[in-house]
Amino acid sequence: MNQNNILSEIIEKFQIFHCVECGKCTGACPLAQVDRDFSPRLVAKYVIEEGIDSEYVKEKAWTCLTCGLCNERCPIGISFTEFIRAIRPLFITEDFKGHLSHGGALQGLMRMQAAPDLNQNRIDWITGEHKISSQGEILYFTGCLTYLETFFSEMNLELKKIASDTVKILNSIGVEPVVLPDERCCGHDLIWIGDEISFHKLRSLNIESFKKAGVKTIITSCGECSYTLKNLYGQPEEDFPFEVMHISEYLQKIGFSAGKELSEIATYQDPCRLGRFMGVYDAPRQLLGSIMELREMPHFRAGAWCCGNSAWLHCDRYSKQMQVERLMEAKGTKSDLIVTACPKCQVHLTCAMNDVNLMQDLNMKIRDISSVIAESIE
Amino acid sequence: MTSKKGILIIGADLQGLQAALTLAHLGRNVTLIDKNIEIAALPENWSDKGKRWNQYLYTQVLYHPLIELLTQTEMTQLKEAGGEVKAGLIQGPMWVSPDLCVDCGKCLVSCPVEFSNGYKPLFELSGPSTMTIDKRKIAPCRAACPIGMNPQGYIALIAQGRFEEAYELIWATNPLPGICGRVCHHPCETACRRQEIDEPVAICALKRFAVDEVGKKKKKPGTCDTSSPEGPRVAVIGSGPAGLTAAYDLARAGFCPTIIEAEKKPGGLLLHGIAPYRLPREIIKKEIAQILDPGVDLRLNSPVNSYKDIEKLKAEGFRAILLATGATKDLRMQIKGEDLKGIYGCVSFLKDLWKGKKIKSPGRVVVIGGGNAAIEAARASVRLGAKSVTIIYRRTRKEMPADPHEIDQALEEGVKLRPLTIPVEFEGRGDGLAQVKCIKMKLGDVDASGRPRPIPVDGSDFFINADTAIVSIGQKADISYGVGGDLKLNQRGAIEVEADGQTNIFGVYASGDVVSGPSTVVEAMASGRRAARTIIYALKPDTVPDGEEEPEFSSLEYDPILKDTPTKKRRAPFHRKISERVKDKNEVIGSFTMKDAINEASRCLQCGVCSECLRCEAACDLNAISHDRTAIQRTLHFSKVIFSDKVQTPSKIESSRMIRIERFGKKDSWAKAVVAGRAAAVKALAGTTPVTVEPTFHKRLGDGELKIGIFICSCNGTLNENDRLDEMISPLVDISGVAHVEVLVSACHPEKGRRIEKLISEKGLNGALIASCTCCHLAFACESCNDQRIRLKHRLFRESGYDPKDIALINIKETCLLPFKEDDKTAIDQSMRMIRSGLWQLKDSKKLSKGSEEPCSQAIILGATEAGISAAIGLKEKYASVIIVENLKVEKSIEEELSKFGIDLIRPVKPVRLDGRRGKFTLILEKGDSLLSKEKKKSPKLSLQKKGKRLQNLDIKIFDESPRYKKIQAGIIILGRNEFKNIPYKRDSFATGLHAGGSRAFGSLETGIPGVYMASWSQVKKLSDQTTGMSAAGEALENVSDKTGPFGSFVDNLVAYADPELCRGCGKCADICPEGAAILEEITRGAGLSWIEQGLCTGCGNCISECPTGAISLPEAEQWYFEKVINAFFE
Repeated sequence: MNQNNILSEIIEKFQIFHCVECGKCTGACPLAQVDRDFSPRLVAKYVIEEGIDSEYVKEKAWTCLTCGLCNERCPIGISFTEFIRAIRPLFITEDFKGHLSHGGALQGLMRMQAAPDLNQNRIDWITGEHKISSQGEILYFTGCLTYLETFFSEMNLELKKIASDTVKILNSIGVEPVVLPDERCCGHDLIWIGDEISFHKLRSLNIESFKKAGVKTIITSCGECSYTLKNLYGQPEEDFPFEVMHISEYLQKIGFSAGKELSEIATYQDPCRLGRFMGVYDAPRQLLGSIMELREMPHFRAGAWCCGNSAWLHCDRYSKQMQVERLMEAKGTKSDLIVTACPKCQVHLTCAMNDVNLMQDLNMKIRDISSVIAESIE
Repeated sequence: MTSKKGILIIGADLQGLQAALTLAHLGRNVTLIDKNIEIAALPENWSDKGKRWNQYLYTQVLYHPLIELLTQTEMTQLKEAGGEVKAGLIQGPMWVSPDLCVDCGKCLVSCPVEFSNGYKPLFELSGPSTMTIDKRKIAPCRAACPIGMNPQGYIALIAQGRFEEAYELIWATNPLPGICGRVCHHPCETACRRQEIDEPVAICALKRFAVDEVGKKKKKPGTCDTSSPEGPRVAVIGSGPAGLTAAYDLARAGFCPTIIEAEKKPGGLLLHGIAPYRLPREIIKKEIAQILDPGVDLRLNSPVNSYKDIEKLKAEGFRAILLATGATKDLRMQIKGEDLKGIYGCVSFLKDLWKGKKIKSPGRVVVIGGGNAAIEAARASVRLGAKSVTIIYRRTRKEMPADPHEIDQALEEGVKLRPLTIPVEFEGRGDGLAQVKCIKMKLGDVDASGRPRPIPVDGSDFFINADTAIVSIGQKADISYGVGGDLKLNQRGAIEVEADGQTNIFGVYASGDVVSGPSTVVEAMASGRRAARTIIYALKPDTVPDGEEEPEFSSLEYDPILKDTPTKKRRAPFHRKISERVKDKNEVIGSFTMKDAINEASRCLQCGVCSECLRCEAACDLNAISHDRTAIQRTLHFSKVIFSDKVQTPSKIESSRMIRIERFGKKDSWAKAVVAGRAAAVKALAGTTPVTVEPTFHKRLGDGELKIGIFICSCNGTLNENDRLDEMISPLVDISGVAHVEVLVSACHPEKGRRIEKLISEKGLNGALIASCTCCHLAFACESCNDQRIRLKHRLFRESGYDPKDIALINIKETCLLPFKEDDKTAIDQSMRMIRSGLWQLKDSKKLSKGSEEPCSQAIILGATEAGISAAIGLKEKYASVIIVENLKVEKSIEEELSKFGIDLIRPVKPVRLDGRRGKFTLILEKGDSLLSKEKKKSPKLSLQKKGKRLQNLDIKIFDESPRYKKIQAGIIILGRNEFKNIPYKRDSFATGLHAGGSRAFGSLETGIPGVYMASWSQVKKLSDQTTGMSAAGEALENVSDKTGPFGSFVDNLVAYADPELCRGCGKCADICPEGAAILEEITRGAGLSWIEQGLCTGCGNCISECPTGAISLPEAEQWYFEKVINAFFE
């Protein structure tokens, strides 16, 4: 089957023909606010009109943030984001228009993890104060925290502490989770850049380890991991007999009551995957609200603005501008800190704070929800 | 008046190097001299940064077109006259030429000398990265040898078992080595320093060993070829050692000598004076044959009896005649009964004997005399079956001139010695000898010969019964041919010559015993050699350098002999049993065994360190080593002299033409040295004009279809063992686009490497890949550049002017060939991969960033302090307009001084804000009330936001509108007072303190903002404000001068560029750029774009590694390029 036919099938599957050209997607798109050249509506138009040869689609398929805000506004209910994910593999050609940030090093790290024989040092954050087990029903999936902290060491982010804090919270309620020393990357970024082969390698390696450890429930501290394991690993379902939950969902489900109140005022940055993709808006807000004052930014819950990047693609001045705008919103709430539930939001927003012209105006503390909750129960 | 003459800097230490580079960057010709060979090595206690900076400066200086670097050079005189300085310079002999050495290490392997601690006379310097030779005074053994043999050299070679090379070295000076190895009186052993520990080294026996061992299977070495078809004809009369040596030397010099011998066989006294058991006849035969064949004619049975014979020879066409007829006429005792039968002259006795005349048993023999000939006669008598043999000598054994070793052997064989005895009468029975009447002697005072005078003891007469007496009291020359001519003789009856062998008759020379009277074999050879040299010079004046000019020897002392040097017994070669040896004429002493020879040779102390065996010269195919080089003296004229080396600094420097670099503290003061060096350079600028240097224009090789030449450097063959590099040729030729592949002797060598240029033009190549040790196009962007790499790049990109884009440089030496030295397969496989990857450098044309702005030609100094004024004066060199701004009161005298220099002063003004970047600063000044009232304007003061706060664009407009504020432009800014550090700058307030930790922070006075310098350095008390001010000016001037042009990097257009499509505007590039070339401009809130100022970028690549989005790239280091390179590597 040629590429155009595959494309036509995808167009059919995602009902792109149903587009009424209302333009609400473009109106909502945070990227379109800063990059006037980008428009989801035009992508839909050109992909139908010109198919695989459309220069516009070739380029914009890669610049789309995949934040999912357009999906929320589409009156027809087209899932534009999922459509983009489906067509990206078709555009990995000689004429590849995508641009991988950091020279593709991060995607390289993830692909390396797809090698079956691999020695990783990914649990060096576990110390005597953590109680973990090698077999058990509940597994904590750490994701790429170890790698990101090393890679972005100059930002001084405490990403490994997120993992440590998550285990501490679970320990405090008597759960000694399984933490796998040979866990692999969930593959989120690889499938979103169209590398399905590596993604499936990672998926089967991970599922094999989960089964070996006798796991039933998987807890993550990252929105992307949650979404990937639940939605992308879980199909077909018979292969994946596990329940996946973000730590905030799990804590809400078991009726966790946080400890002491914190004096700081926080504002919550909804990660796209946890929020719009999985609908988890309330759990983190309830948890945070129980220990500190929570203020909302102008764009929040389903309308929240993205942190500016996804899958380490196209980090450019538009990303920077979106990040700066988002930080200005956060600053505008007069909160003391931004709390988020995805380590990548932390990386991206922290990077944008280092602005030569706006330095003082953008500086703001940013922490993960697990770290904040762990502080309250200390 | 200004002068275009260069500036002399004495002392290439850190401050000297810095001064030279600063001056050269500003277009001045510099001659930099240093008395040391090694200049890039620094004391251990210097920090790594200081060492690195020194190395950086050194490599920059090395091939700077305006700097002449002379190492090993001292100043002999210095005079100031006529507005210039005249300096006499002497550069020591450069035995290893740094311009030709490729540092391959071949010479090191070839050197036979190695001390017990591993020290070798050849060792590698760290900068210049070449070899050097440790030479001391000439070794005593060599100095003692009349013919200048090099025992230290051949002994070192024997000690390593390199007998053939020892044989060649022996032959280089000695055409009769086997003979000398047996009968030489070896003055070398007398001089040997080993006897201070135990006994001298058995040099003579070692020489004999080498000659015997190698001579068995090999004739004389090819280097000693004497065949010369044509050349002046010379007659050598006499075939003794003097005549043979002279003839050999003449033939080697291209002459046609003919030896004329009176006897049936050649050899002279070698044959007639020395016994066959000491010197076997076949050795004489063999060695004479080697001299004769080819090139030397021999006429036997041709006595020259009268002067007419000499004239006949002249008429025959001989242009010179050398008389070497020896001293063969026995002296007589002049006592009663000397004509009795049974009394012989020693030489005639021996001559008859060795000619084979039958002599019946001599009965009781008395030999009179104490020389070698007397011993010879005594031992010969033993072998003739004498009943008894007695040697009579007038002094004691100690004074006997004969070789003690020979005396021992004679005594062993039964010869008796009667010292302190002299014969007074021979008494006969009939006409035959019956007894010798003698008297006893005693020793008196020392006489003219240096020995005690023998005095007869009255009434001590006694008789010795004898049938035969052999008189051996000396010989004299037989010069019958002189009769009838004008040949001048001396009192002793010998020919009178000038020291060089010239007699009083034109074209007639004399040498050997005929001149000196009886001497030794080696002295006769030396005399023959001197005469030959004279003849050669007389007939072919151009072949011999000026007679006075001997090769230059070092004057460095020997190493002292260590007290704890272990003693080692001198080995003696095998001696035949006495009972056997007296029965025949066969040789008494054998040759060393191989083991003994090596052991004996290892006793040598290697006094001269370098033995000058010249193996290194032979090993180096690149002519980098020559032991013949001599010192060069020059007198040069300079406009200024800077003293850096404190040893050579005159105690008082009075003239303005002589500048001493300010002294700074003691240890580890590299930063201060750099500051002081720059300051001295700026001081020296006054009154000199820059030279104009044509910029290098790179020529692109042709476009079109790729025709790449691949050149693989074998580093003088050291990397091409087993011809492993040649294996790469055929697979590489098969790659499409490759037109030529070749293994070079050396890519960096100034002559051998020229093949690259030659083939590019001959074959019309449009790209070349050079696989050598050179890794990139830049000049010292990291610490890997050394002499050889810089030399290659200098030649390719400056001299030959190739565009760096057409030449790919790949370092396979250090990445493949050396690491896998033992594993040929891996080494070649990896090299192939590297070369295939490297071809990508040539396979696509490279993008270039465009556009550049002229920097502002105005400089501003803040503060009329001493440091600031000093900097301002320095800056006048390059800046048309230099302005000092000051808010405090300035004294009248200072104002006058400034106007004298053409420096503007604006006051009272207060700097309130700085904007812009290096080359294009904008300074906003707030006018003081007094200035404002002068201008008759009134304006309110603005309330500026607090320091450190961002100033909005709006504010700048207010500055424009209000007359209270003045805006001035500047290319650079120098802070005369530290308080000015607090002026608000667009990013932030100034970083306090100096620019620390950055890559350019080597004694730099630049602040955190590129282009802004401090004129005083408060932390350093040792340096005056004047010095730091000057230095700041120097640094500023250097930085604005055309660094990427002909003076700086080899690459003028490989600069970074930022892709606006990918730029995130994060400003990381601007933060890290050491040159201030990466500039971030704000577009809207939160969004900016970076761009690279081409004129400032040096292509270091720091920004590329920092850029998170991959927007910044170098044409040499683009993402696609690396992807392709890596793919090609794993293909």
